[in-house]
Amino acid sequence: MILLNDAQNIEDYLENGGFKALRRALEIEQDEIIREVESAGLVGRGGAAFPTGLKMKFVKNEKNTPKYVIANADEGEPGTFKDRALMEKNPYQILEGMIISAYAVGAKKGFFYVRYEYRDIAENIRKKVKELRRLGILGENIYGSKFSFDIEVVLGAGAYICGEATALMESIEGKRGYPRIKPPHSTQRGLWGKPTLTNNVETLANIPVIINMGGEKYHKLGKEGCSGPQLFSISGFVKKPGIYEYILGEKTIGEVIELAGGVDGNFKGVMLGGGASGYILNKDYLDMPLCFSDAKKRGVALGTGDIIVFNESVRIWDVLHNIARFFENESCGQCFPCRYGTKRMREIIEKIVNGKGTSEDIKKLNATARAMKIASLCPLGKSAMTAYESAMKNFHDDLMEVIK
Amino acid sequence: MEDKVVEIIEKHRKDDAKLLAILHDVQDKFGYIPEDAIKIIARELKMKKGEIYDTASFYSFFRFKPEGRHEVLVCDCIVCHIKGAEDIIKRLEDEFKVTMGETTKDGKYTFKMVEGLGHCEESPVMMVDGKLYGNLTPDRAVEILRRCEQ
Repeated sequence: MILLNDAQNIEDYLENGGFKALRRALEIEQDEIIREVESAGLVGRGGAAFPTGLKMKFVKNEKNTPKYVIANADEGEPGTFKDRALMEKNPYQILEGMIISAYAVGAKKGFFYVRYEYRDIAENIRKKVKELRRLGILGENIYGSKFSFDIEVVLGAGAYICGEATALMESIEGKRGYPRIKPPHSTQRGLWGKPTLTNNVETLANIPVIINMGGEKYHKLGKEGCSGPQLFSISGFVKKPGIYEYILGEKTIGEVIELAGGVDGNFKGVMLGGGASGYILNKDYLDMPLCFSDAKKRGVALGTGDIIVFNESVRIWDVLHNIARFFENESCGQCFPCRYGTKRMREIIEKIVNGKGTSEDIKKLNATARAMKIASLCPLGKSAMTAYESAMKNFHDDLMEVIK
Repeated sequence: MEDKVVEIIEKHRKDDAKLLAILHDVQDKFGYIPEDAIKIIARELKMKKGEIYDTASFYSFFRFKPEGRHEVLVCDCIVCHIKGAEDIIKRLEDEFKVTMGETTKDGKYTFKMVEGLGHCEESPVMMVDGKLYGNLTPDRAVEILRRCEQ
């Protein structure tokens, strides 16, 4: 395993070559680190799959200082729990990746933002940060170099939207977690208006790996269009739910389900790509390799890498109702299309679940979906209807059966 | 109250991300965020009271009135939902004569429905005072809560 190694204390981590990448990174040029990350082909693991090296380059090239880095551990997608597992088992690799990234872009201060539900983990990360300060791996002149960097751990307080990078920045600044209007992008004007690099914690854990093995070699892990290891959160009706690590493109959805013990009951479908904002897929997708480009070709996305397995007991309208309620609760309320759209979506689906759905309601749902996708300010509103739309495509007859 | 809140503020004076950290500590100390504490925070941070409340009220885990002695978070995310969370919620509501979001009459428990505790491998789950309980059945959920009464 590359990411999910068990190294909960510093002795174990150092014994397995921990912080070797950081020491090496401090001896080379900032641009060289970014070049390695770019050639590795690493893309963000927080759902958006944006090229990490490119993001680093944007921040590095900004003249404005100070610069900041953020580790995003506001893992809020239902069905996604891989960041939690990674922070529990291998926290130092994330911190090492964060320090290397900070050095590469020229940041002196970082924030590690953890969701409230993982309060015990935030406490643990705080302890590790103190420990690293004591060891000279954080703070002034890291490993005797000219580079100084420190981390502040920030605990969220219950808001799904804060997983969105600019909402997260507002939250760190002590405000409501309202997403910002882009551009300017946060790589230019992020925290307190300064250039900011935000990465998911799993993304950060890949950085030391890349420095150790070299970008070219890392790039060869996987196939065209996707490189490196990825953590998959497998839950729902499988016999052995949990976190599974595979090289991207190596396994299909069906194979991963089998490796998680197989379906508990009779297979009906899966939800892929980031909990509530993911896609509801049928058996036709079981042969799809878990790779960004394969997913894109089929019109879906891997998102945060979660697979929720449905058996015959799962009713799709019921799932859609749960998702609609989720978005109604979690819409931050800042922009109208999302604030009203999520409410309307929940009301209509509720009517359908209660057996009173008509074809007129389906038309209204489709119109709401379109409007929210066009007019919402941030990805929450834009993706709130992804589950509904994909379910309509893949379980059309099933869904229309109850419509009058 | 004054001394305690000021002490908390001083502890975070050097932090860049102050406000959430202060609010968390105040809530831990008093069980909720009292209005007087908001006044003191506003004065010390040179902010308006409304600005503090504006931020605090956005987040679902900050509370402004006292709650039950035990905080019970019952997860009803997609995964817990398809694995029977509704049955658990219904049973808890019947057993403790509350609806989600309420505190029991004796002030022992406050129940909240949440959507994603991040332990989907053990769904359905609930969290009691920060401790997670997984693979629940309605009976087991009741039993766990009855146990923490003793």
